[in-house]
Amino acid sequence: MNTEIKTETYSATGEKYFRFTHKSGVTVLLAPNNYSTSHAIFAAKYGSVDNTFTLDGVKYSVPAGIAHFLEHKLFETETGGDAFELFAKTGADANAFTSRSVTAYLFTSTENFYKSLKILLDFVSHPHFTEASVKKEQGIICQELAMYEDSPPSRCANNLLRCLYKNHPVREDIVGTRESIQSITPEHLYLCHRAFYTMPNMILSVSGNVDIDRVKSVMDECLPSSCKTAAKSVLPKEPENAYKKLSRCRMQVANPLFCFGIKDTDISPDPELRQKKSMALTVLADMLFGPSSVFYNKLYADGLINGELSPGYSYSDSFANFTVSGESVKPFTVRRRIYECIEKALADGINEDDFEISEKITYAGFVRSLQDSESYAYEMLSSELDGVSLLGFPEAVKSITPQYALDMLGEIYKRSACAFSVVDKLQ
Amino acid sequence: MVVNKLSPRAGINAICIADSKYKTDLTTVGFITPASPQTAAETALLSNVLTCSCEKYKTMKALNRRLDELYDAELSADVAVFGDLYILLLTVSSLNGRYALDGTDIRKGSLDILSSVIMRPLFDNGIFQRATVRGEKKQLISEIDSQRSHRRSYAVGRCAELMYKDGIYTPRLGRAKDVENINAETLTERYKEIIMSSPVQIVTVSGDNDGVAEQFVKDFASLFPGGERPEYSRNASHLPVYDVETVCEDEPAGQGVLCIGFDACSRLSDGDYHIFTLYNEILAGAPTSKLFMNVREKLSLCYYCSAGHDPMKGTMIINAGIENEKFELARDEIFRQVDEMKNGGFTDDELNAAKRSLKSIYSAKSDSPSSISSWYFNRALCDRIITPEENARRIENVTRDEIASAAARVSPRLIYFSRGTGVQ
Repeated sequence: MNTEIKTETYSATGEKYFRFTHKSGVTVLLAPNNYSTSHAIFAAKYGSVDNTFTLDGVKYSVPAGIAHFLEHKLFETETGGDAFELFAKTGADANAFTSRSVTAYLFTSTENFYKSLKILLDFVSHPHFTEASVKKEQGIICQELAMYEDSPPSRCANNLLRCLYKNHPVREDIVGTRESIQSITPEHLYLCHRAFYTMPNMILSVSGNVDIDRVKSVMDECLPSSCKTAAKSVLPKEPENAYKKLSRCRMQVANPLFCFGIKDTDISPDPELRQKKSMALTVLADMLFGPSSVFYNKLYADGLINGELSPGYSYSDSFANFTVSGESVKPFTVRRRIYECIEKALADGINEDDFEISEKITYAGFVRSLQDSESYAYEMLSSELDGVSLLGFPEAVKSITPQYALDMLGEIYKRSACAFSVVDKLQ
Repeated sequence: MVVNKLSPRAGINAICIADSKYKTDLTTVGFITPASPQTAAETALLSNVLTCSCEKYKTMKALNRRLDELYDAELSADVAVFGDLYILLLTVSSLNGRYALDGTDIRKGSLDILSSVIMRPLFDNGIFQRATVRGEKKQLISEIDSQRSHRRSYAVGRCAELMYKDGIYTPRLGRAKDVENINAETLTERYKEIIMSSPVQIVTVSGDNDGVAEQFVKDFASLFPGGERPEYSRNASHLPVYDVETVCEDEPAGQGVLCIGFDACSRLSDGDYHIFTLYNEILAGAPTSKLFMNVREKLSLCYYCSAGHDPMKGTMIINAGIENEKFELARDEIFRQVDEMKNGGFTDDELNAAKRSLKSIYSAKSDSPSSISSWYFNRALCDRIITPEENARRIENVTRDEIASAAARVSPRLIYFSRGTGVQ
């Protein structure tokens, strides 16, 4: 099978990377560069939202948190050892993470890159689970869950998602619940691995001082050539309005934390349109709520907010939301001001010079994200998951006009789609 | 990579690093002061006030707007306790000029802002603006109070505070009661004192080796008033000696956090600190470390179990998030692993894996402007400047006996347990 290698470039900075499909079906992204370290990520397009799916015509529902559980358990090797022990022999620093849309396994190395790559591809594609090891992991993951539950920012953000969404599994914690974690069995794990770790559902993203032919050769050696397609996630229909308007809880905090969110259910099937909308709303979020905004400086001067605000728009192919989070002694006053700020922008328009500067900020973020091999590999993966090219980003930003950004905000904004999560001080 | 050392004036030193692989430039100016809780509060507040405005950009909005124009240049201020020293750090980080799409001289503009906020702050009648000081005091007190909601770092800090005993421990942000007592006059006095007499350490990192950084250092140094900048001690005082204590405190949280504080008696200012870093890597570093493999993997007691160390003081605090009921089990297992290290209970494979892991960590330092900047800054403070590669070579030659001797010096001082009393 001939492999067609596509070169992605951005001439203004001289960046480039290669993209091809390996004969196994795995999509490969490879950015050669001269950093001291090389970084590889092997990822499944499978995240915490994929709990209900059809495989070979049969519909399955599995416990919440299983994608994350699988991420922990895949490190166990068929000989009863641990992939970390194998990486220790090559000097690579390995890790993994699970998000709502992806599960990724990765390593950073300064030597023995190809040996480490072989270990990575091997352990991810060869699962081995036993009753005893699954039971042992339940204790560890319950402590991980407890750690997140004790984190006020994490609680605040998760409670917002539970308010915004009624049915979509994005409302569940990535780690799951104690009950769902305790109910996971080796059979569940094998099923999910078979369903979602098929080679065409995998992406390998590599950045560093590496040779494309040697990477292909390791892949030839390690990966099966099956082209079986992955299971298809079944996602419930989500209403346009927020499920609940408000969530409040109390924790050990000096000042209340808040997360404001707008649910966006109008998600285009076209990845480029999704990206364009995301960039427009990201630029606008910075302009309206960033450190140079009138909004931020007024609230800071009035003592209404502490530290910085975090505005942004996040999206996948099945959910999207616009959020502003921060810390305030009067969170409900801040919420009123957020409403006023958005409604004023929609009614009066925005300053075009400010918009241009916010575009500059977005471009700077793009360059910064490529400043080491680890973030380069991660950004290539993220763009691939979004279905767009990483290096097309600066040109795509340029194509956005202030009016387009306002139109997008106007489309998603209605008070009925908004929710607010507050973590109050303990009494 | 090119590394230049400069001493443009007595008490003002600089290290300029250049490598074409960097996409961002970074410049840090550090003022070195003696650590004390009272002055920590003033210096921490000063760090916030200085980055609010300056004579040239009179409001936070104007300053942030200028940073935005410079392709989102980042101006930040921080404070750090480094043994018996307390450091005020002001940093500007910006895209390297080759990434400007419109010919903007990003580096010149960014260095001008850094110089302006340090040397030409915004005064009203010779003192900081009262409203700014008032507002930033509230922000700082809030930040101090917020530390408690970060379970793990708060517990580790509390363990350190209890270990160091009264009079020695300086909280990083100072104490809220000391912040309350600061006013515009006292803060201005503190500023002048630091500018007049504190030793200064500058580190620049750039994608260009064009002499601009070196020229900035010379020009910037010439702005300081003349006068003596006293030498500071490179050696931190030792922990007081006392019997091992156990302290339990309740926190309204679900999980308990266990911290065990040790005096490792190994410091960065010593010639053999690299031996301790190897010891620490075997015990508590990588996912194959003894603590990870036993406390987490074998006994399923926690999600994290690792150690932090203060390289100036020579202390080590092992910490793990656990269920309250598992306190004794986790404590005993941690001590068992620490004792095993003393008895040479690690294999050659474990030793070699730790060496490889550290070698990789040191090689990676040069990939990031912030990592390489911190590396040289910390070593300059101890007057032990070596490259990360040289440090990796020294690690390679460490023997089992040397690790056993480092392990023998490690002694427990405090067991601290932050017990979770439940969540609402």
